[in-house]
Amino acid sequence: MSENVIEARDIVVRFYVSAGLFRRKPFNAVDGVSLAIRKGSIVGLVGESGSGKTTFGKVTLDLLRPHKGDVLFRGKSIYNMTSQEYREYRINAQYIPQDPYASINMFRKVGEALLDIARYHKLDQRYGVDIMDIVRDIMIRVGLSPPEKYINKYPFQLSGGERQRLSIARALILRPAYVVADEPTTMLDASLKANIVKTIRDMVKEFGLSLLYITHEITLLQYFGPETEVAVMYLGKIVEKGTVKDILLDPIHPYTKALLAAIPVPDPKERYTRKVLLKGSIPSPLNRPSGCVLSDRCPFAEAICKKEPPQLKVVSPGREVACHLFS
Amino acid sequence: MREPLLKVRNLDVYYYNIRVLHRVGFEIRRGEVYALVGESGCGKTTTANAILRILPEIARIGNESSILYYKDGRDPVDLLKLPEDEFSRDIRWKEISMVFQGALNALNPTIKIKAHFLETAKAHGIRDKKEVYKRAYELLSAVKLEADRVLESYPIELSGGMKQRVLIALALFLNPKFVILDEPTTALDVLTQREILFLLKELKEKFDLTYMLITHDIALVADIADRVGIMYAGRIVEESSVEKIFYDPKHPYTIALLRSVPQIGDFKRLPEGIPGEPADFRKLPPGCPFHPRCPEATEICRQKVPPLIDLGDRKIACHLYAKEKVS
Repeated sequence: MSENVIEARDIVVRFYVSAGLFRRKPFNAVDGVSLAIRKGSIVGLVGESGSGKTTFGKVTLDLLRPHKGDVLFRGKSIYNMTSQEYREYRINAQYIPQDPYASINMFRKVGEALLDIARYHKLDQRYGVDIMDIVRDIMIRVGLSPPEKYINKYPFQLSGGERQRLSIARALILRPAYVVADEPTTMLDASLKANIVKTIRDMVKEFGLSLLYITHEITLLQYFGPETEVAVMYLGKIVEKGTVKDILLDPIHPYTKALLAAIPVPDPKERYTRKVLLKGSIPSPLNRPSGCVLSDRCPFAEAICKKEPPQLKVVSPGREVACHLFS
Repeated sequence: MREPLLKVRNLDVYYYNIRVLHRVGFEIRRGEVYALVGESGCGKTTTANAILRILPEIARIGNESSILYYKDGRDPVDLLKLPEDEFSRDIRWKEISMVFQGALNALNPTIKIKAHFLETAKAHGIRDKKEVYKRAYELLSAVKLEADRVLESYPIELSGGMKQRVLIALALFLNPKFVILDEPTTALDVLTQREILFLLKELKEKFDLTYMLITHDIALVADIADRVGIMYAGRIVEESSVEKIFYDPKHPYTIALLRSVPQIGDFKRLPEGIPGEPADFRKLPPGCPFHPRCPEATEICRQKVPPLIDLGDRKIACHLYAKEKVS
């Protein structure tokens, strides 16, 4: 078994919202999530907005402190590191943000944006090569090539796809061991999504990265291969785990089924036969139902679902489901 | 055949001296859903803004352009020739309204939802607050929101799907007959997308509406549109019924768009995505604007812009089919 680069254990993130003057109500945005990512592998984290997937991703990057739980980087807790170790972790854990229009400094040229990072971390001394070569190299790898064409451009001169490539370059110029890609294709045209996902996939292979790929577009995970691990999240909990193939072709959890049924199908005939599987929409985490998190929307819910929260259980090798109907 | 509601003819739009729309022409019939599909920057939103006369000041509309609107089946009025005071009094929002792109940012973050309704009412000379709240309550209930709570909320307190519903309610405020939906589901997750789509269909029946749907997501079109216009670099390149577009696409760009949608469980034939970047109006290639990305481009495509011709079952602008007609 290969080494886990990142391992999150039983993470609980608690946020507070104001509920009247001086009163604050807690809720768990992430509620007991454990996930491990092996060296060189990809894990897809799927769920709708508000399910806690971004919050979880941020915890693994130490951008958010969890209320409970532990994050291990190469087997060592990131909350219990020497400053030297922590610095190493910081450089090795990088982030590709969702919105390429909001996350890039519009006053810095492409070359400058990358050079800033390279200089700050003294990459030229680290690798013993010219600093501009490092910048050019990463630009070519992410598809901003030839670099001369892009190096002096301002972000407004780039298309959405090119901006996202710049985001990828910024994350990868440090040659991190672990990257969180947070919905990197959501803001892009359907015709460009595939190109960006393939670029990320190629980078994972080339650099031996470990990647947490956060998305609500399950179909895009197919580009990472049928055996890629996927975890489906709903209201702060993982409800199902399996390979892309299992999840797409044989979903078990009612929520996963609903998620798949919602994917638009490019066939006009389908419009008359398609149904909405779940009632209503995702409740505010404040009104989380007792028992199973899905019990108020699930068409199959039974009495036990309203009372007891189901635990994530192994149903077959590599396959885990949290649903009373399958235990 | 249903009677026409809107006829756009020879619509040319220039930003400074850059031509962004080239002789765009289409017809929308009463009660149908007409979809305008293409990548970002192809001129879809510019077309919509021209219809609603909200183009930025730097824009100039060509002399031969006309937008005929058939109000109550009477003789058409040319929206482009109407004086602004008459247009804003009789047409904008009363006859034609729009659900703007970017549900997440289209609302004013500093005022409550009820103030948005008051503002809209005020702009159209309605001063009776009670009347406004009553109508707002009706509409918010029609879009399946808890009207009482939402009216008193700030945009930040609402989820993406809820904001989109508020925008739809605002668009329906003055009882329009024709609603332009500009990317109504982009940036929403798949489950929310589905709910909004169902809602739009329901509202269309309830209020007897005609829609123009603007989107880059061709899979969405299959679910709701009756007729489809495919746009590339400011031109309509193919137009037909939704069935013809999906079951028998002819233009290489339409085919490429359809192929860019990944199919569930089909790991062997994952879409490649359309190579290259969308056309840039500042430096359009000579000949057919799609030729640098087209797998079937020949010499003539590099030299001459193909005209939009009528093949009987569709309109198409492609040299491959122009030849067929001549021989």
